[in-house]
Amino acid sequence: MSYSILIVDDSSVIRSMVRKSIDMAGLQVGQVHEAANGLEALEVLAHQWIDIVFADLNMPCMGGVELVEKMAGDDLLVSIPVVIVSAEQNPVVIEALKKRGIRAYLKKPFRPEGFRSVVLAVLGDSGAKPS
Amino acid sequence: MNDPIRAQLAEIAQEILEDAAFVFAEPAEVEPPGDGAIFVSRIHVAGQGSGSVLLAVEPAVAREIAANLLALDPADPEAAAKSADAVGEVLNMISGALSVRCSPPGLPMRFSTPVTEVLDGASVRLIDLESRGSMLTTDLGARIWTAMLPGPVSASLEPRA
Repeated sequence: MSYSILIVDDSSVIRSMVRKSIDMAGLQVGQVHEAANGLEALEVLAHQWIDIVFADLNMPCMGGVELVEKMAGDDLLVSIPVVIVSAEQNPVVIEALKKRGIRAYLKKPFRPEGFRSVVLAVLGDSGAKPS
Repeated sequence: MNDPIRAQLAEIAQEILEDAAFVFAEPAEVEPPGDGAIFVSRIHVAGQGSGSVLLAVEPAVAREIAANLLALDPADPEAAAKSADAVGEVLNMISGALSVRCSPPGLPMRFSTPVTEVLDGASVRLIDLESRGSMLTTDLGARIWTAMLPGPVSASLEPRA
């Protein structure tokens, strides 16, 4: 099974880094969609089947916290796992996000191997390409 | 924004540049910016005090950061095109680490998104980086400045909610 992924970050550099990390992690990926903020992400989620969302916190228009809240309040989106990829390191903020339903938190800067372990923890071994 | 935070900022910048972008830099006394272009990224900080965190780098460093973050050859045109975004992202990472090390308990720092501009040397000299910040030099001799500035530097730098 291949996964459809949505990367949400206002930085095109980070979106590219996440894409490359996905490639290097050996994950089974179908389509990769990108959005520059939470509003754009909701637009993508309204029209595309997405299996996992990687989202930054600090973005213009709509940040990651509001995106998570909007998804949590939507019957169709609530089950999509969200992995926060952010430079935010405040444990209070991270704990609050986990209570809001995020599945994992990945601190920037991240390494491809750290990225892989987080994704496999969320998707299970079915996310990995057969060796 | 006091001197211990400025010192922490330079130390964190050194660590993040090395860890995230494989740019190796050491503290140094360097000349003020000349007339050439400088990439200047700023993030507004709100918390115990209000101000801005600044990272300024010479174009060669900006390009090296972008190339290393994206696993590109520094000569790749994409590295030049993504330089400003890459410098802003490095400052974003520096700010996250600064928050953990310098925020008093129960009063976390809050940060805006980074705004990165390419300024000429005269504009950068007006910021007075020599007295407000710390300087680093890379193993290739390119210059990097970090600074904490009091108050917002730009109306466009609104702290995030």
